[in-house]
Amino acid sequence: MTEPSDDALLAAYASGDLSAAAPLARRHAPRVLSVAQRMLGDAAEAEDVTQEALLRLWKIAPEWEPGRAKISTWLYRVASNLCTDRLRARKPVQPLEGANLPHAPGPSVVDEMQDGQRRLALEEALSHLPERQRLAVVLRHIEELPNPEIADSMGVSVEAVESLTARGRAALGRILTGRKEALGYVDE
Amino acid sequence: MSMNEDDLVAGLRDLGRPDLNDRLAGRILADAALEMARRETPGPSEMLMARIARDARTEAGRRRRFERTAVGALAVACAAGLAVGLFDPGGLVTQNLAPAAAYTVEDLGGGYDFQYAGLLE
Repeated sequence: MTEPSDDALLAAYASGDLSAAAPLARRHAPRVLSVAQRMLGDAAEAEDVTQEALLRLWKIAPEWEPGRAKISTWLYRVASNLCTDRLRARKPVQPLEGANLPHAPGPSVVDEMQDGQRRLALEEALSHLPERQRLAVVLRHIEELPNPEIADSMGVSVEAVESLTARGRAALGRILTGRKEALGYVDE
Repeated sequence: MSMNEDDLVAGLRDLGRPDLNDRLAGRILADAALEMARRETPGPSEMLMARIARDARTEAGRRRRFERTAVGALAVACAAGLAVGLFDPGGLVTQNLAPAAAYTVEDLGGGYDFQYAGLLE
């Protein structure tokens, strides 16, 4: 049996079928959360942004015009705007760079620490990118959205998306290159 | 778009070579980091899903109440209009006018063209 489309689910929710909200949330919350977390680098704030984006979807449900836009694209746009608002309101903070990771002897723990370092390094590198470059890189290279959908979400042309992702990715590479020894990417 | 696992491993091994171009190293590191990020997509907590579900319920309830109020107000207005129309047609218009300034049906229009035509004659 085929899954109902996003538009059908939202229309059902708007007409009073509460059970239609759960599959919509299951479908979209993880991706919105992922983008918000990469943008903000903060799990709690990312959850707040995800909740707010979905709340706006519930509010707009009766006026939603099926086929005019994709719900995922609309949600990415709302989430990225919410993230931008939060980033602008936020004071600059320095990432901890794994300062709280405990020292432990086991190899698996060492691997875990290494992975943790690399994860933090990516988050930190992303945080150094300008907001729009960061969003473009996250949507293209982590969420793997096609460029036209990213362009719709960001309200820019496809060419602008290509330029943003190329510059963002190059900047990411430059930042990470400066930390390759710390990240364990050097042969003995 | 992304490298496969073997390319990635080979690229990471090559990072030890001093002659390796920094730009290539940057690309490889960015690929590795993004690949790792793709594998480790954060999942929403049960608490977050519960908060989202609660919002959906609250919003649906708020909309239902609003619609019910709107329909109720419309029904009351209809009933009031019918009552006035059935029991006191024209009452709301005439009761606000002073008896001396009462208008006749002729005053309601249609007479001006005729009067103007009379003046011309």
